[in-house]
Amino acid sequence: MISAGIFILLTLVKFLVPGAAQSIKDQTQKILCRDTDYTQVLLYISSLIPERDEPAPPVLETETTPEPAAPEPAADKPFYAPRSLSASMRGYMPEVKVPAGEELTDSVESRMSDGTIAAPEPEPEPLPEAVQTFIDSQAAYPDYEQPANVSYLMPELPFAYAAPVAGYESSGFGYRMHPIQNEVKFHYGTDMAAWSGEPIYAFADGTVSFAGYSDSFGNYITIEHGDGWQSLYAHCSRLDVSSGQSVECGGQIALVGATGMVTGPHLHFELTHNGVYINPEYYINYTWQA
Amino acid sequence: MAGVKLDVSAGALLIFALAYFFDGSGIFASLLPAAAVHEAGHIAVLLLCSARIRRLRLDIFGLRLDYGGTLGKRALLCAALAGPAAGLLYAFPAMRAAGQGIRMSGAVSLLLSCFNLLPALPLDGGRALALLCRARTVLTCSRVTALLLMAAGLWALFEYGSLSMLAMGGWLLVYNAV
Repeated sequence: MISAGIFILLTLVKFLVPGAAQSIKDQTQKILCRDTDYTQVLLYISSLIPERDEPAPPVLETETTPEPAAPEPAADKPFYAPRSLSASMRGYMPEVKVPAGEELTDSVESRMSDGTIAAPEPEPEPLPEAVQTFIDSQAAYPDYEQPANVSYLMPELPFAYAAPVAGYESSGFGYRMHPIQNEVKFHYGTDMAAWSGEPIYAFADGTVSFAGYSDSFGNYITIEHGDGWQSLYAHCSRLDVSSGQSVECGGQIALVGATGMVTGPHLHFELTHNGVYINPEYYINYTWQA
Repeated sequence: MAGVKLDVSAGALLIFALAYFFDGSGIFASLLPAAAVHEAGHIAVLLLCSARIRRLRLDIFGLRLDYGGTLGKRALLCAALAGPAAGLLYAFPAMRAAGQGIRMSGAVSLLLSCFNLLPALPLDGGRALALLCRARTVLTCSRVTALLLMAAGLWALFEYGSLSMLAMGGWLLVYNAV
């Protein structure tokens, strides 16, 4: 609200009193750019790249089609003696970062409109993209049947959910070469590699139905989320909750570890609905902060 | 890609407007293509690794990208380094281009990419390091990088009267303080 107000105010000022706007602008620029002329520094940096007669390599952006043969305009020549400026340029290296990433709608929209991304061909029964990708990946194991207690589909969850750990996938749901038994076996959960001691969070609101130890799972927890939904967190180094306790979505319940039958620290995460195993990767979402 | 939500927060709009309003030297305008190329690099790799992008948000902290699915170590490493890589790929031809604006955006892109490769969180270099090393190592590395940057910033301050590098080093140190 406040920012919208300032925005409108600024626009009004700019249109109604252009003179005043200009003087504010000049004042601010004087304050901001008191020490150096950034334009000249940046132009100097680009002049460090030697001109070549041969055509420049292919360019990412269409707007940058170079004209290598064009004569150099006088304004593009270095402004300062090279030695002093190359030093001062280094002083400004981080400055360009300050407002970075604030104006990316352009790139986003161009990526969406250029059509490079996954236009799925029309199918009689369109499966969600995630499901189709998973089924395609399982085609690498044509000799193995889908186990009876497993569904490859992606039912909508009747509750809010959160990623159980920050890490990367080291072994996915489905058929895979077992790392210890060294044969193709069905993997009923997803392995998320993370460093020992990283926090594990509850996938959704629920009640802890088991917190204990088994030889294969190590320290592990199961949580009931209602309506027959259950999640399981295995190989923990420490358990922070006990059986019967209620937990909140995203609340810390344990720490990543390497207990039980493992080759290294990771979280083995399972999701079941009335005993049927569902691919948990469908529901794990992360945010990339650019 | 059809179901992607696009949000632009009011704060981001304000910063955008303010930068546009006060920028007379054209640096903000040259930052636009540089930042766009950088982020397009990240997004392209995430999409190639079949991450399902659900939502793109532009807020005061930059671009936030919500994606579904779990990615492997190599994919995340590539995604982290794709931004600076795209930036560098753009920078060198752009700096040889004829137009002054494009040359400037090339230089901005070069600096942006180099800065982002520093091994300190939350920069891309630090993010890549976090996939390879323990959290404590990454934190130490981030703090050392921040201190080195501040030292260089102090030198820049006394030599050229410039505060920028010191400020960036300070920001990195504060970010990695807790």
